[in-house]
Amino acid sequence: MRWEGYVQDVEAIASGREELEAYRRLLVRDPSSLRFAEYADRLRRFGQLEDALAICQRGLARHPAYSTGRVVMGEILIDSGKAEEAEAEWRRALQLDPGHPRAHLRLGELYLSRGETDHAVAAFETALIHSPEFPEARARLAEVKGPSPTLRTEKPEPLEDRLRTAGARPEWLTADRFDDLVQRVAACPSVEAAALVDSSGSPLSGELSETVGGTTGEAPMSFLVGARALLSRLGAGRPRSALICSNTLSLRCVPLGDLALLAALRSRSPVGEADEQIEECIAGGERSEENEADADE
Amino acid sequence: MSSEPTTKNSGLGGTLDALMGIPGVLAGMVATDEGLPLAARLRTELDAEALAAAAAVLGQLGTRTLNATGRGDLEAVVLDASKFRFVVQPVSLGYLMVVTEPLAEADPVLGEMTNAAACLDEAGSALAEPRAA
Repeated sequence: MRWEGYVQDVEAIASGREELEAYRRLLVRDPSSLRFAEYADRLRRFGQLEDALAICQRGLARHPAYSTGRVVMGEILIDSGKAEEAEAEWRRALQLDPGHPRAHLRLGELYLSRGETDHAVAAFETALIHSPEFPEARARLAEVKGPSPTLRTEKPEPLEDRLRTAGARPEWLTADRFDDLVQRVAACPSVEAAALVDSSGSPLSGELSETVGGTTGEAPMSFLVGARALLSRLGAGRPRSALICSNTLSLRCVPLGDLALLAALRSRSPVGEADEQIEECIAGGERSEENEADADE
Repeated sequence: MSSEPTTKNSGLGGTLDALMGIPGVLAGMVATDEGLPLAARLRTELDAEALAAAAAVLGQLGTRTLNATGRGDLEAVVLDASKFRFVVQPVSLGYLMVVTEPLAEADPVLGEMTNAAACLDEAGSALAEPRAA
């Protein structure tokens, strides 16, 4: 009967009723739950720092790589007057998840308390780049820098608009054209291999793994998501494409609505040349749709 | 176009000044790994501190992507947006970033940035050396 009352406790947490007790019962039933971080955070907010510390330590012993748990641990430590230990936890959180906005925010607040304003501004800016609508980070940045005629008065693109933008796949890119597009791109002189991936990075057509290593499209897709947030923060428009280069790989990522075209370029291919070839393939897809429409008429 | 590099070793400011001379370049910036601006030259309304944070984030995103492929260390990230193009290269001090017009040619910028990165690495190691007594 371990799960008896579980749903009621989740509902109680969601509605704010008997919150602490509901969390406690929930963790008794499921000691491996990641909700330990939420519970510890609530205890901290109620000033029950010793209990919060104990819960968080127990949770992190089970889930040492849970970045949010590390952030909460840092918050408990800072409230307990242990600034250095708190900083170490937030830095550990950022090693686990470099884009954790709350870890950047808390580090920024710590820098600010030490009078390190430049570092604080950098931390708040980074938090906003990862999460452009993070109100606490926006408020802190405004406190430090004051209003600005450029970025800080600019409203972030609403979330639904960004999602809609991300989901706006070109009309011509229907499932029956996936293979054709990928084959055309893979046949470009500057391209070694190509693939079309969905929003989770799973390949819909083509194969990169032999060229790029044991990767799926997950990492490039997560790059594009991060780039979209960053451009929104900067007011710099939408991502059109990205190129990530090492000494052995040049990977071109082109967002196509909710999908992305990935192309591994041949070494020493001029970037401009490769771009033109790939753009021509995409334009070719658009033209083929127009031709089919004309033929139908 | 001459292949002779135009970037000479003249510290952070001089290196950025040279990059600003490339057609289409709107901003040049050196930022730390944490997104702190070390030096900047701006010809746009973009904010130096936000750009510095962006340079570090782009560098980190690129590094994570390459780590997932296991194919070498990051040399450059180029992000084409509808309003600008952002080019980031890792340097010993953190990241070098150049912002260009969206349709500026990428190859000359990348070539000059490689020279600039070498200059900055030299400047960075000079800064790291202990002062003579």
